[in-house]
Formats: sequence, C-alpha cells, structure tokens
Amino acid sequence: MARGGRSGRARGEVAEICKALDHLTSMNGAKPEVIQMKRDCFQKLLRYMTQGIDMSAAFVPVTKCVALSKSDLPLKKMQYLYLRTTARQNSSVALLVVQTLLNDCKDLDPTIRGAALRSMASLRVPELMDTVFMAVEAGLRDPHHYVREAAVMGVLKCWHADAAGCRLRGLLGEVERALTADGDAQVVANCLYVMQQVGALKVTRDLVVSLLNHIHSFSDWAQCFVLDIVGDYSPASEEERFDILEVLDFGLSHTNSAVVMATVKLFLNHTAAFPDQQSQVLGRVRDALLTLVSGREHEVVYAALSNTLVLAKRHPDAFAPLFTDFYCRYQDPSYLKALKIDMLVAVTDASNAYDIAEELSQYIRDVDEQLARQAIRAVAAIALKVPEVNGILDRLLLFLGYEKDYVTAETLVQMAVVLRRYPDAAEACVDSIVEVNPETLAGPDERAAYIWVLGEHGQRVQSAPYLLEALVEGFADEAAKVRLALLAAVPRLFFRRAPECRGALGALLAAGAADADVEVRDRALFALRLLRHDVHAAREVLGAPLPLISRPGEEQAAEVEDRIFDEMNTLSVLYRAPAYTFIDPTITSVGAYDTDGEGSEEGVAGQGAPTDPTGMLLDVDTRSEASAGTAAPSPTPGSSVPDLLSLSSGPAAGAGRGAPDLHVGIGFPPAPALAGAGLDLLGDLEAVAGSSPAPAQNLGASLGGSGAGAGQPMDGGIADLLGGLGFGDPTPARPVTAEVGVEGNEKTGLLVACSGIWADATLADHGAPANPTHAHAAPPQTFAARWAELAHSARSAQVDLPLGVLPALATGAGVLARVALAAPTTSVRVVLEVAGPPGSNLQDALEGLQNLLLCL
Amino acid sequence: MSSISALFLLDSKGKPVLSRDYRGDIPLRAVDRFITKLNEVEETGKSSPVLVDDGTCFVFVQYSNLYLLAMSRTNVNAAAILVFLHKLIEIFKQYFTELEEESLRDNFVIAYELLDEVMDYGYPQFTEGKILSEYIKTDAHKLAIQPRPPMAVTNAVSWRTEGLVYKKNEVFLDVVEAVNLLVNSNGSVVRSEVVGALKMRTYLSGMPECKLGLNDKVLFDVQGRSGRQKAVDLEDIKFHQCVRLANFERDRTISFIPPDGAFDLMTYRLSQNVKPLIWVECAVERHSRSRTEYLVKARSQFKERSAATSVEISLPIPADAISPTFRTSQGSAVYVPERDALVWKIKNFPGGREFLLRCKFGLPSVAAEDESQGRMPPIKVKFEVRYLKVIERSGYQALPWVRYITTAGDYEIRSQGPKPTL
Repeated sequence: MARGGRSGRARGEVAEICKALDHLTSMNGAKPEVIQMKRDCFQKLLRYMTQGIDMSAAFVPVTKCVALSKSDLPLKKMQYLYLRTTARQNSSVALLVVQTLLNDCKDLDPTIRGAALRSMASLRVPELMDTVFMAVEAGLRDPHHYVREAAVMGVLKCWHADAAGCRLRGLLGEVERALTADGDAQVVANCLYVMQQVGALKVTRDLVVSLLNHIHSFSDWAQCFVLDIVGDYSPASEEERFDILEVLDFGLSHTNSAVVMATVKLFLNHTAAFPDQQSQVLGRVRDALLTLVSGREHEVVYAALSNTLVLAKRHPDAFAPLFTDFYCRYQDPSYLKALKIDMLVAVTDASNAYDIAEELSQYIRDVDEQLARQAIRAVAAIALKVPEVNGILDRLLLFLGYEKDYVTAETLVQMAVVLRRYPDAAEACVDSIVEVNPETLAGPDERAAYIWVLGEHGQRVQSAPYLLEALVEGFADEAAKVRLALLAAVPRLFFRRAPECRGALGALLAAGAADADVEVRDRALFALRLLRHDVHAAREVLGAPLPLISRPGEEQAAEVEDRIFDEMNTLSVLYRAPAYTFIDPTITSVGAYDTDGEGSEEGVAGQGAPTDPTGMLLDVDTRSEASAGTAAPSPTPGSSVPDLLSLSSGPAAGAGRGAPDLHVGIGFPPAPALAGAGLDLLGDLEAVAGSSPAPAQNLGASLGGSGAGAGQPMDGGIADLLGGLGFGDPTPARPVTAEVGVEGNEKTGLLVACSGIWADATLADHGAPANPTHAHAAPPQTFAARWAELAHSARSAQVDLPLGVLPALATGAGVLARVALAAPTTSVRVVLEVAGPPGSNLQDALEGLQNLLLCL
Repeated sequence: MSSISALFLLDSKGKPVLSRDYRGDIPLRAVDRFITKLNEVEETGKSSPVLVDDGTCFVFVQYSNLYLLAMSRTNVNAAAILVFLHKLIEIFKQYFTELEEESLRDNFVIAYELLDEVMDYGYPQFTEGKILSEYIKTDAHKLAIQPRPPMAVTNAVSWRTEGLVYKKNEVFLDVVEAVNLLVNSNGSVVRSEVVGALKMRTYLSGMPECKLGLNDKVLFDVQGRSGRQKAVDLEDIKFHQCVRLANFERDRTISFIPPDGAFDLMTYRLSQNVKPLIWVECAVERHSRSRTEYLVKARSQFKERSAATSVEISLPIPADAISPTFRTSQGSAVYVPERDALVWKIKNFPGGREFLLRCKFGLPSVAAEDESQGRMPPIKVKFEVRYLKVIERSGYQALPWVRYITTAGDYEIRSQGPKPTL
C-alpha cells in the first residue's frame, strides 16, 4: 500500500514538474525573468530528486527547456546534475543524455565544456564508454585548462569503469605526458592523483624536482598531495635532502593547517635517520603544531592534537616544557578535552608532574562525569609514570573524600591499579580507602577494587575481615565480578588472618559453590578443593604475591603505537587505531577488536583462545553442543548437568582405542542440593572419579615421590581451622607434584605446578616417560598445539614456561584441559566452560588453571 | 589515498539535505548509519570528529544546525578533510552569508554547483572564493555579464585575477591580537599567549606590489608593553601565500601582490607571559547558608592614554541563585539566567583604572549543596582596545588604513564556587 501511495505521489510530482517546464518552454527563453522562473522550477526538481524520487520521466521537457535558454550557465549545470542522476537510475535515458552532453563538450564556453565533460565521465554506463573515451581524449587536448582538469579526472573515472579500454586507448599515457608537459598546476595535480590512484606513479628525481620548483603554484590541497609524495621519496644525496627541506620549509608556516601537517610529516620522515637533525626539526614542527592546537576550529584542532599526541609519545622531552599549552579550556568540546588529558599524561615528566596533577584536579570538579573520571585515571597514570614525584598519590587520596560518588568510585579503581604497581604505597593509602563507605560504591568495578584492596592489604587494616564479612553476607546480591573479587580476596586474607576470616570464608565458599554463574562456581570450587586437597598448595596459590604490573592495561601496545606513528597524518591517528583494524574488510576480521567468542581462533598476542575450540574437542559428541560452544555464557546447573553426564556413552572418535572408558562430567548438581552441604561436593566428585580406579591410583602412585614437600603436615592452626570448617582430613595422600621446570618467581612456578598435577596424572597413566619435551611457547597457538600434541602422544612432558608465556597459558589452559582430558589414552572427557579471558594478566592465568584443576 | 567518496550535508537529525556522490564506491545508504553511530559513541563519552562504522569512515564537522560529512573507505588524510570541510563552510558563507539548513535549502542550486567545483572525483580542486566566483556567479552578477572564459588560475598569481579596476584604491589593515589567558582560581596565571593576525582588505587596481615594514616597537608601544626595549619574538609567523618569503628572511619586509578583498596577511603567536590587559578578581563571601556575596574587581593594566571599549565581563553564578542584586561603580550589569551569568558591561574602560561590582544573591539551602559542587564555569572577559593610525602613503595612490585591535580571545579566569571545594 505504502509503495503504491509513494509512486502515486511521485507521479504527481513528475507531472507537476513536466507541466511547469512545458509552460516555461513556451515562453521566450532569453528573457531574464523567464530564466529565473526556470531556475526556480529546476530547484524544485532537484529537491525532489534529493528526496529520492525518480524524475527520469521529465527528461524531454528538461532538455527542451534548457535548450531554449542556452546562455544560462546555472541552468546548464542543473541539467547536468539531473542528467547524471537520471542516467544512473535509468540507463535507457543515458543514451539520450549523451548527445546533449557531447554537443556541450564542443561549446564555445570552456566552463560549459568542462562541466559537460565532467558529467559525461561520471555516467558509468558501459554502452557509452566509447563515446566517453572520445570526449575525454578530446578534452585532454583542450586549449583551456579548466577542460583539461576535468578531462584528466575523467581518465580516472573511465579507468574505474573500464581499465582495459583506458589502456587500449593510451589514456594513461596521455596523462603521464600531461604530468610533465602541462603548464597548469591544477592539471598537473590531477595527473598526480590519477597516476597515483592507478598505481603508475613513478616518483623519480626529475618529477620531484619539477614539483618542488612549482610548489607555490599548486593549490593548498595539491601541495598536501605533493608533500605526501615527496615525503616518500628517498633523496639520492645528503645535499638533495637538505634542498628539499629548505624548499619546503614554507609549509610549516602555511595558513592552511593541512599543509602544515603534511609538511610536519615530511620533515619527520626525512630526518628520521638523523637524530641530530631530527631534534632540531622537532623544535620547528612543535611550534607549528602548537599554533594549530591553539586554533579556533575544534575539529581541526582535534586533528592537529591527535597528530601531536602521536609525536609527543615518541618524543616526550620536546613537549614536556610546553605542557600548559594542553590545558583544557572551558568551552572545548568534550572530545578535545579528553584528548588534551591524554596529551598531558603523555608529556608528564618529573619536572611538570605536580603542576599537571594540580591542573587535572581542577577537571575533577567538572560537571561532565566522563571527563572527571578520565582526569582521575590520568592522575593515577601520572602516579605510575613518575613515582618519584611526591604528592601525586596524595591528590588521589584527596579525591576519595570528594562528595561525588563517581569520583570516589573511579578513584578507588585507580588506587587499586596504583597499588598493584607500588604495593609499598599501601601504608599511606589503605586507611583512607577503608574509610570509604561501600554503600556509596554502586558499580561492580569499584566494589571489586575495594574488595581487592581489603584482601590484598587487609593485614594493615584492623577491621578488614569484618568489612569483608559484611560483604560476604550480601554475596548473592553482588554482580559476578564482585563475587569473583570476594572469592579472590577472602581466601587471601584468610591465610594471613585465619581466625578472623574463618567464618567469612566458610560462608563465602558455600555460597560460591552454589552460585548460578559458572565462573563464580568454578572459582569457589577451585578454592574449596584446593584448600581441602592441600592447604600449603592452596596458600601458595590463593595467597601468592601478585606480580607487579608494569603499566595500566588501557595503554596501547608499543607495536600498535609504532604502527600509528607510521601512519601519521591519516585517519588512523584520529581514530587511534592502525589502518588495518578498520579499513580493508578482509583484514578487519583479524583485528584485536574481534571479541566474538567463536572467532577467537585468530588470537592476537594472547587474547582469544589459541586454536579452534571445536577442532580441539575431539570427542565431544553431538548431544553436547550446548556446552561445547565455548562462548555459551553460563548454562544453568540444572540443564548442563544431565547434558554433560550424558556424554558418557558417546561413540567418540578418539576414544575407541580399547582403553577403559572413564567419563567424568564436570557439571555440578543444581544449587539447592548444595545449599546445605556445599562442602561435601568434593566428595561427590571423587565418587564419580572413583568409579574408575585407574587414574586415581595412578595419581597417587606416580606423584608420590616428588610431592613430598607439599605433603608435609600443615601448620597446626590452619589445619585445625580447616577441620573446623568442614574441610575434613587434609588428605596428605594426594600430594602435589610439579615436574615442570619454570623460570620466574614462585607464583608462576606454582601455577604451573598445579597444572602439572594433572598433566602428570594423565600422562603417567600410560606410563613410559619419554624424552622431556620443551615447549617454549611463544605464540599461544604453538603453546596450545604443543600441549595438545603432548596430550595426544600421552608421554610425560616437561615444559619450560618463560614468564612471558603466562597470558598464553591463561588462554591455553582451558583448551589444554579439554584437549588433554579428551586424549584417547584416558578417555576422560570433560567439557569445560572457557570464557574468553578479559585481559591478559595473571588473573587470567589463574582462571585458566583453575579450570584445569577442576578436571582433576 | 586522499580522495573521499561522497560529501553530505545533513540536518541535525542526520537526514541528508544535500549530497554529492563523487566516486560511487560507497552505497549512499551508509549515511543512514551515521547519526546512530554518532549517538552511540556520544553515549560512551568517546565522541570525536571521526567515526568508523563497518569499514566506512565518517569525517565530519558540525556547524549551526548542519553536519558536513565526508565518507570514505580508505585511510584518508582526515586532518586535511577536516580543514577542507571548514573551508567549505567558509565558501558557503561567502555565497549565502550564513550557512544553516534554511539558507542551504534556499540556495540549493549554488550549493550543488559549488560541490561540483570544489571537488572532482573526491579530490579537492579550487577552494579560493575568488576563483570559484569565476565559475559560479551569483545571480545579480551573472545576468549582467556575458559568458567569457574564466581567466587567471594559470598565471603565477593564482590568488588574484587580472584586470581589476577600482575608482578609489584602498587598503585596510587591521592588526588584531587576541589575548588568550587562563587564570586559576588561586589567582595565578597558568597560561597566557597572544595570537595575532594582520587582517587586510585591499581594493586595488591591477597587479599592485605592496610592501609592509614591521616596526615591532611601534606595535608594542601602543599596546602598553613598551617597557621591553627589544622587539618581542614573534613565534610561528605564518604568511598568506602571496607573501614573498625570501624578502622577509632577508630584511623582514613583507612584500606581496595582495589578493582582492579580505584576507589574513600574516598570523603569529606570542607565548611569553603577557600581562593580562584586564584583570578580574572575584572574592566570595558567604554570609550565611543562604546568602552569598561576590565582590568583583576589574582592573585595566595598560597605558592610561588608551582605553578598552565594549568590555564585557561574564560572571558565572549558580543556576539556582535567588534574586541576585548588584551594584557597579561603572557600567551596567544584567542578570542573564539562561547563561547562569551576570554580564557586566563597561563601554569605556580607560587604562590604569579599577572598577567594582558587588553582587548579592541567595541560594536555596539544601539543594544547592550538591548542585554547586560541580566546577564553576570560568569568568570570561571580552574587550577590544583600538588604535587608529594612518601610515605614510607610498608611491602608489592608495589610502591605507591601519587599526590596532586587541581583543580577548579565550580569556578565562577560573572562579571559586560559592561553596568551598576540595
């Protein structure tokens, strides 16, 4: 219906225009007032066309009408616009159009010739290409530059429509000739565009010299282009390089910002290999850029500032003394303020840190919440960047007392980041942090940060266990992230202040084990079983000191920054991502921005799972689809358990090698069953595992020797407490082993050791330890693949893990667990939920390993 | 590389008013996504003049009730495009005096013509108003003049057409200095700089050769900065393309063949600490929870013989202020509720003087507590200091007029709110 109405309306409009045009045609077309009426009529016509109404039916009256008022240029141009649009909508009209245009290409007035040629070249109708070629060819030889300009661009249009035809007619050759021979700057510039676009531009010395000699006659835009070309040219000699720089020096003081920026890039390019000159040049370009930054047009300032930021990150020293130039003005748009804050952080050094922090504190009072938050993050970043400067942390602490909740919240999150880097600062900070009323913290991030501080630095705070206890009481109402934070923090504090935390820990683990969220439940069970299994190991895992982070996670990797630097003065600098991440669609899918769970196989530097998860799950039979999809967030226990358990009779491909099938479903009974006796869970699982004795025995047997250290009697107090908690016997019968050589600190060692428990268990199952295999796992793919291979060959393995591999381990661990468990040797099939790791710090490693351990 | 695919002028809701598809390599429907994407990004507080949606890059400028939007699929030189879009705004303004949705709809045809000329196949062509006017005549002109081939462009002086004749040859030179100042709430000058421009308007016949000598001392003397004997270093001097740079390097004379009409001959920046020409202090007294008083002092810090005109001091007061009353020792003050500010105007502010303003207002006792915690907007000052001086005539029969104008650029004095903060 709507369509009918629409076309009916359109017919009405076409009729209206046709009628008006016919009427005007009957009048004397030379009279000024008639021309004016015609123009008004055309204006209406164009407005309809802009609305998307097909006006091709008005072709005849339009042509007639214009033909009778030949001398009027605006009418002509409107007609061209009409013809272009109509020809695209209705190619049969194009044939009629072309004759009109051809006639005009021979008009006496060069403006008409040029405009007609331009329109003609844009027709894009295959049948007409021959005519277009002819017109363009003639245009290239036109005495008037305006026509030649249009003709040269016409060649490019033809080339895109019919490259072969262009070549056949030698049009590119014509353009190449015009490039060196034409006397008009804009014609030459257009030739450059064309040659560059078709990939035939040869930047020779002669070309560069001739361009530079005429640089002043080019328009601003052409100058930009020439500067780009010359910037990529490598001068033959030192002398030539200096000459180029000297000739182009004017560009730095050009009124057009685009030219200035192009010149800046060229100067930096040409001095990149000469540090002395570069520093000299830096001073020059810095002044030029700063003027642009103090400009009036916000968008242009943004562009200039983005480029300056890239440069300042490379050469902070050059910009550090000028930090006041990057202070925010009240009327700056928010995107500019945000950029300026980044800039301030980039130029911070010991000499200006205090002033900058002071200035940033002003922004915290801004009404714009985002800006205030960013300013807080910036102060924290400065605290990390120049720890030697006093007073920065005090600033942050001051913010805590500020009355806006979001300020407190953001500050808390940032304090946690700072404390990760400088734990020694805790003494000064913790008291203020604890004073924050957790009631005022609304978001999960800040609550998690608050909990983290209590867990990590709780020994300094008298009331920490009670504060945590209060939070544990509200466990069920917290967000998953906060629940996870509690599961990390409470055990951590427990190992330091066991008596006070006992109650909280018990309640927490019980609640956690019954949690609906898979990740939370896994974490709770992990802690629970680790504690029950071996308190020493648990202490070392759950209470291990965290490695220091080097810089906040938000910052871009150096590699990415280099890439952006190389792409200076393009869109990527403003978009703050290298071009490959957003330009070519065939490449975009690989980008680090791909957060799609299924697409995680192309992991970039430790994000995303290492290999195709479905490929690795060798013998998950089809019924388990729901749980096999790694991205499935959290199937409710009720539904997942039967599914998982039903795997047992799967005719799995890899499993059919005669080994006794053991099927363990790591799915937990529905929550209600756990609510009362959550801590008995381990027993349940053991019962399942126990149904097939082989692995269990092997576990004990093969690990017994090396696990002596870990199996030692525990600290009496803790053992007692654990007993009291209902952890039962500390079971020294299942010692922990680590046949894994690890470089790095204890923490890492332990993590790997934990994974070793299982690896050994499985691999030893099939006896015969073969040659230790070293897996220096650099990229996560190799790492996981290696593990997969190991698991398949069922040979004992020794794995050296360099520290840097931790993120890989984190992502790899989940897959690894699945792969290894799915290995034919044991036929233990376990399906785990592996959520894409959110970041790449140790936390993830822990999570991955936790999954791994759950398979035990 | 640096070409764009299409140009749009959108209304404030993101509907196209005008579009020009230069390359035809992006489906024009893509523009429909623009406003959605923009809102999306703005919600997360990460807006910028560059957006990317599914491989399509949007580079845009917002002006009055319009968006000027360029689309591309390549890693274009976004900075140049932004400059270009601003240039386009300037051109449109030349043709329709003001650029907004209405004027654009009224001048549909010229707008299309302009879009045709400023770019071809997505590559910028001519953006010089004078040259464009060769190809696009506005109505009045057009009908009177017979079509003749456009001239210029090719000759060495691309910014000036030949054959101009004026009955009265005149040159106007304005030295406009904008003082940018940022003063913290504790009264310290955080940053100050002067951005200066030599704005020229020439109405000269033929191809005149002009010369201008910069006498820095004169320039600064009149502005009350004469204490310094040696000439102040101008930073980052920029000249219009017409200036012969070689001559300037040699003897600091500026010689040029001017374009016809108005243009910026030269711009410069001075970032040494400049004494604020007008200093404003604001003392806040809180008499009680609900009654607050401002005492504002404005002092002129330049030579007594000159005077600032049209001084306008905008003083922020809390949005919920109740019945502000005020007294001034000079000039008049008005409460402008929509700007949450008190505007104090002084028509004539002689050098070396100090004027006072006293302002009392009440605040609702409870609500104000939270409200005014936000950072107070800064005090802003606008003013103009003019000097007129006719310099000697050269051999050329022309009337040169020179004015010196100092204006307040970003003149920001951060104020303390009526409530104690941090």
